[in-house]
Amino acid sequence: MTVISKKMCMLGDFGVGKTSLIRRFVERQFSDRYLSTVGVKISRKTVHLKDVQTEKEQELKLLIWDIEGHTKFKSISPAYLQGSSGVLVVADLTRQETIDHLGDRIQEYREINPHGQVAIALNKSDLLEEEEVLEMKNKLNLPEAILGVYNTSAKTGNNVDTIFQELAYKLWLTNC
Amino acid sequence: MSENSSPQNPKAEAEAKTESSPSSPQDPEQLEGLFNLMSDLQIALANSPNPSKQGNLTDKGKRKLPPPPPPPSLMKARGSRQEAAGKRQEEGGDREELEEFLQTSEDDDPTPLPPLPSALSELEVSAQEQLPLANPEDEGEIVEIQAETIAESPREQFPSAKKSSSLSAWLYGEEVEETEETVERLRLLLLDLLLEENLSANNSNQEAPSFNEATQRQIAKIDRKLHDPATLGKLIFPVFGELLRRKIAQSPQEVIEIFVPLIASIVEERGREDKAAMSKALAGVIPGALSKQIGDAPDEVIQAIAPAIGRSIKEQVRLDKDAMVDALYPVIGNTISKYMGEIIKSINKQVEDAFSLQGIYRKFRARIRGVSEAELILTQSVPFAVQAAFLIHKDSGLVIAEAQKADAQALEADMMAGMLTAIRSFASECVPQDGKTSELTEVDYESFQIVMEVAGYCYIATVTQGEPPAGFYTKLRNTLSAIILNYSYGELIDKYNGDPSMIPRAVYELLESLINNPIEEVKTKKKRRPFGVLAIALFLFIFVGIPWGFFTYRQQVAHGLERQVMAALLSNSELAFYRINAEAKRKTVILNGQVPSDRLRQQAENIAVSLAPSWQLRNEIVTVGLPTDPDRLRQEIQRQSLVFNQLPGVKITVRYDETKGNVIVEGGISQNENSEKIAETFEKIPGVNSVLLTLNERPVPSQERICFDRGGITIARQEINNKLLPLADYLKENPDLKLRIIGHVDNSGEAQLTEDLAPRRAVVVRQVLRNAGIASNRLETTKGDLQLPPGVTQNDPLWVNRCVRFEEVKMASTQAN
Repeated sequence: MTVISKKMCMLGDFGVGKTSLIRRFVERQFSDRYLSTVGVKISRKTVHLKDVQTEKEQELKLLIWDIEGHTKFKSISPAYLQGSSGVLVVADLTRQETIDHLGDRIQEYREINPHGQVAIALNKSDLLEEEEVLEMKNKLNLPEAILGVYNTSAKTGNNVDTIFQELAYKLWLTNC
Repeated sequence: MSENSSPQNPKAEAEAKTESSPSSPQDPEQLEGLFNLMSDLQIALANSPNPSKQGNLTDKGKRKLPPPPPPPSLMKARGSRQEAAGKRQEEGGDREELEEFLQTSEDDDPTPLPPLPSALSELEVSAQEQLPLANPEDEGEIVEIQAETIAESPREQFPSAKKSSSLSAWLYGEEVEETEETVERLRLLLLDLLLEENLSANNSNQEAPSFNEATQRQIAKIDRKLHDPATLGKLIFPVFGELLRRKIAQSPQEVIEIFVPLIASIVEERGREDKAAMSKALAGVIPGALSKQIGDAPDEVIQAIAPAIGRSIKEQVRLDKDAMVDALYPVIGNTISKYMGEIIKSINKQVEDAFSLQGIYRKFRARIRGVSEAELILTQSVPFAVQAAFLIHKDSGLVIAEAQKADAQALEADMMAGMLTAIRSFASECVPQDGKTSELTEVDYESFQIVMEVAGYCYIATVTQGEPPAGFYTKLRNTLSAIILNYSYGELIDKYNGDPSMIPRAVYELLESLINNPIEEVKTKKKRRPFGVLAIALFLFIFVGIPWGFFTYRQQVAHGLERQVMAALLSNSELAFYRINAEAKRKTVILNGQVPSDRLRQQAENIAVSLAPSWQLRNEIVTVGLPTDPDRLRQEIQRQSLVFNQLPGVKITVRYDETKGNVIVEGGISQNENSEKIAETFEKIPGVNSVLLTLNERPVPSQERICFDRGGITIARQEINNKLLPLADYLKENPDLKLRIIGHVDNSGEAQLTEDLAPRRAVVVRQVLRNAGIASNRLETTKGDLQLPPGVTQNDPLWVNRCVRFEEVKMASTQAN
């Protein structure tokens, strides 16, 4: 069985936890230290997928491009987004403005990859009560065709594997 | 609390006496007791400004020192002794308070030292300064007062002493007895102090002002002393060391705690003050300390030193490069030699075939590429190899296909491809190319390169080692072209979806061939390139070489002819004097130069024609009146004069007057035609304007005629000197000449006067010549000629006839004539 490779990106404002999510997913680790990503960092993880209906199985190698976070002063290079099959747009539940920017990020990604799969991670959910998180989620007003919105926590690991797995699954099925 | 105290030590006691101290200095605890007492006093002093309290103090003053401040209040206090007595109870309470304070201070304060110095000095000062003041008179009073006070209030008379003892008791428990003596001493001391106070109290009524004044002075003095560090130091000095030692022995931890915060500052301060001394002090221990620490906690030492190592080495290199080289040489040398050993082997081989075709080719390449041959050898020595080749999707950075060398460590294709793609994006974004797209083609590391060839949707990245030969780039380009041309259809590559199974096997094979035969193309290239070079060489040879060779040949022929003509011109005696150039060009001989005459011009032309009959001749020789070279002119004149002097009968000297261009000829010639010839010849010489001939008519002695008087045969002296002697010389110069001597007589009948006058005249002349050394056989005399001598006519005077003349006769033809 051949391993399919897919490129996916992480997008979001600086400090929302993109690198932490990858670390949690790839290395099963978490650190409180904030390290700003410069340019881009690429991580790789192979996930095992199984189509419950067709019983088909597939190994999928995710090449995750951890792109430096958006700041007020600097937007990212669109070249990094080229050729990616999916994107995980991340926001920080404790910083409203990062949630407000989600729409912009999705738009930015879609401009380059119109058929790319988009999933949204509302990160740092461990810092809020569950009800608050739910409330925030409901308030979200996002464009259609979003794979899903997940409240994640790189610290606790909540939903991290799920969101990547879901995204990978979708990438495999749509094969774009 | 103080088991090791030794109050009975005699020495200690002695010291105690000198110090006026009630306790032995050997006993820190006792000292402490005293100090406490002192501090008690100090406190009392501190409280004393209160007038009412002061009154109390002075009243039972045996306890306290009189306070230095306001004398009036003091007086007042002393005056109200009764009143003060009434307050004794209160004072007692006061004392209790003090004792309590002392106790607490002892408990709380581990360093009761601070109050000590002032108290001590106070004591000492009072003891030293006041005692001498006391005169015998006073002494009596002292005793009296003492007795009185003791009697009066035995209980409260010596509160200090009591207090001291009570303190001692409190401090030392059972040892009270032993310290009694000390206490007594203190008591006496205090009494002394008190004495003055009492004196002032007693005298206050009568002579209060003066006494008070003295007291005040004393007090002020004491006060001053109290604040004088020198006195203070003097007081503490003898006991301080011991004090400290005891303290350390007793509770080292405490002392350590005291000093710990200071140690760093002390060391620092000392270091600042005298760096050399501090360095000296520490020098001995530092190496030991270091090695100990390295043994105990090497990591710490390493961490401490590590950051400085780089800079230390740098500095050392700056200071003494050679030492550093020497130090590192054994290590670096080995590493390098290991590597170099292998390279040198290969270089040896290269050098061996330096003269082979390959070597020549390399030299050629080195010249063309502008690098040294050694450099080229080195690059050839590190063999070029392709470690891996990846076909990478340009946008996503996904690996479409890969091939890696089997024996090498596998590279992380995905990560490398991703990062390379990111770098490419980054680089092209960072370097603005104003509209042009520019691709990253090479990433150079020290030991390897990543060489990339980029197409529209994908690129090949190869990891290579060694200098990539030109052929590799061709191969790379060809490989990518092949992939795109053959397998890029159906968006296989353009829209690569990450599934490697979709990629045809052939793509992998192409990549593998890139690894296995990275410079396959070079072989054909190699053949082609020399061919190209050869073609260029041939072209050059045909279109440049041959004409050039022909030209050179012709040049050589022409040069040869030129040389020939020139040699011929020079060998011609007349032309040799003029600078004539012969130039052979395009089948034409060109003569140029300047000659003075057309004849010479023609002559030169004839010579040239005779030498090069098949060539055309262009005679560009100009005939001009040359601005002659005076030296050459002079030479020519000299030469001509020599030529003329060769002629018989010609003897000339020629001068040349440079300013006028005149030739002046002087001398004699035998024949007139010669003079014409001479003039003509000299006039012909270029540069000569005119010839001035000053020639006389008797150039040859044999042409001379010897004259005689009428009928005489005597030769005048003048005739001998002027004519015959030169004639003799002339004959000597011309040994093949014979002379016929012919005598004449005039036609006036002279012959009749004397017989045979004519022959006799000839004999006389012959005799003179013989005398002059001419052989007689060369002198032939005749019988005389009666005819007139030649050239003489009848009209000439007679004396012209009376002569002897000569005829030259060649030796061989003596019979001529």
